[in-house]
Amino acid sequence: MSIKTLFKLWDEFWFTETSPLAVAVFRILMGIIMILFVLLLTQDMLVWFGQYGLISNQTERNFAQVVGLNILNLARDNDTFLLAFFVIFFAASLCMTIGYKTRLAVLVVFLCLNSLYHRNAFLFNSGDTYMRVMSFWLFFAASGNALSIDHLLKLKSKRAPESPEEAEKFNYKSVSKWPMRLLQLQLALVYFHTFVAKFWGDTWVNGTSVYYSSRIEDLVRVKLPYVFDNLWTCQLLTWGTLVIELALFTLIWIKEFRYYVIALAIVFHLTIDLHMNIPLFEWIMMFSYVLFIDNQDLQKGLLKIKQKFPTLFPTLKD
Amino acid sequence: MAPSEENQKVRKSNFQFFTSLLVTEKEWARVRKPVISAFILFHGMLNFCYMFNHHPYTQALNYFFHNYYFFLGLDQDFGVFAPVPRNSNPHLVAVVRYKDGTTRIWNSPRMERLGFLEKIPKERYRKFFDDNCVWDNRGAVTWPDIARYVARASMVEKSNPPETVSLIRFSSRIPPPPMPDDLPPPQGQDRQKQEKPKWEANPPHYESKLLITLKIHPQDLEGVK
Repeated sequence: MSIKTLFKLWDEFWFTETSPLAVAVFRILMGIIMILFVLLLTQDMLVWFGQYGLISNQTERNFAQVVGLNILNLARDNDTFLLAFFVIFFAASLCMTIGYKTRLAVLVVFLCLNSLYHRNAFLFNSGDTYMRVMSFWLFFAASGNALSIDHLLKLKSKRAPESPEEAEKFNYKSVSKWPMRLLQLQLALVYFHTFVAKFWGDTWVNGTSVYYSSRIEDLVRVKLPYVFDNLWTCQLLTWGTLVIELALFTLIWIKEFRYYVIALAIVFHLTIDLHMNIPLFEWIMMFSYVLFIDNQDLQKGLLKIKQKFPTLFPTLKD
Repeated sequence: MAPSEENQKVRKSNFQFFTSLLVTEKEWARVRKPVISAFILFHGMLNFCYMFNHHPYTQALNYFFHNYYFFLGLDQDFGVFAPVPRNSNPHLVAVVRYKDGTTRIWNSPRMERLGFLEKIPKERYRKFFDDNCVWDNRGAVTWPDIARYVARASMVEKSNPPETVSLIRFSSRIPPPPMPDDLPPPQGQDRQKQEKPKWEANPPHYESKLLITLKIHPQDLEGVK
């Protein structure tokens, strides 16, 4: 293989164009998650981030030892400012979902997630980390170019298309692929890292990890009968977890295997969500698979939804 | 699909404002791919070095770029249940001693005692206390703050303020799973019994450890209404 071929492959992977549909659907789904995220945090916001909350600003800074991008530092230990921050965070999540001033909304969501993380890092799980990093990459994507108010306004401001060919051009102009690739790679990276981190663990080798994780009392949501009370099922699920996680950063890139891997992963995450109380984590992971769905299949699926709910996706055309 | 001329124009207009401050449109069109490629490679390298931080070279790179990486909140660790899942069940209890010598017990939320719907909004408490703060390695830095919070939350009468708060971690080990023995059973023992031992339930939180006892000063009780 020559260097020229390598450059060509690099160029093809990152800089070809694609429909913005997948990224737009991901933006909507992530927006819904963000709305729920804000609502779930709001009721205890003073406990977690308030002036007289569980952790002081100073303790967090001593722990981190590095300065983080944190809007809350603009008015430190000010609970009124904190309330305003949450209102803005909620508004930005809503705008992100409907696609109004999309890029700005995504930027604000990223800044808010980052600020909360730097205010109290003890509170957040891997799902929150994933959302924070995904919002950073999503900022670079043209996620507002489809299924958004922005796109609708853009179409309205232009003259009506004169021919079907012209109308086709108006409908979801293709965009550069690299931001979507970054989002896809980030998802694969999550599974790669968790797979490698687990691979050497004793309990992952002897197949008892699922046994231990199912007996962490504070995590249990619904006790599943039989499944976690037999060695063979525990071992099957432990090793099965590793296999699924391996497939989610390898086989998912191969078109022929992709949908099988995604289907398996959805069953995997739904089972975890049923058994363990980690709200939103499993859902953001499942929603991210939309980034790997073929654009034509995605369009077909959305059109089916549109047939049932005609007011949805006004700019979506066959 | 190759980038169409029209799309390139649109992209130019999106970046027009920002890039016009640094480069002309023509220059941006020329450097766009190298700049984006460098951006991708740089962040890919940072992610790799942060996640697989086992070599002096990756540690050196981490050290050099950590401020940027952490500032933007790009530091990431997805070792869920890795390398092994937690094998104990903890909960935090605080003993508040008031000025008049009376005491009061404060408990962190016990998730296993909450209902299906109650658990959902309380999940952050589990993460904060049970996963992070009750443990000695990274949680110790938070103990004085937690003690002060408990003192404020336990303030009932102004004339009888909390004097000390002690944080105690109660926990119990998850019993190991009944793995069949690879060796043949000793003479006289029932193989069947050995292969299918009883699955034990989680014991009550029988271990206790005093984490900290903090003397509460009047300024620690500021903000109590």
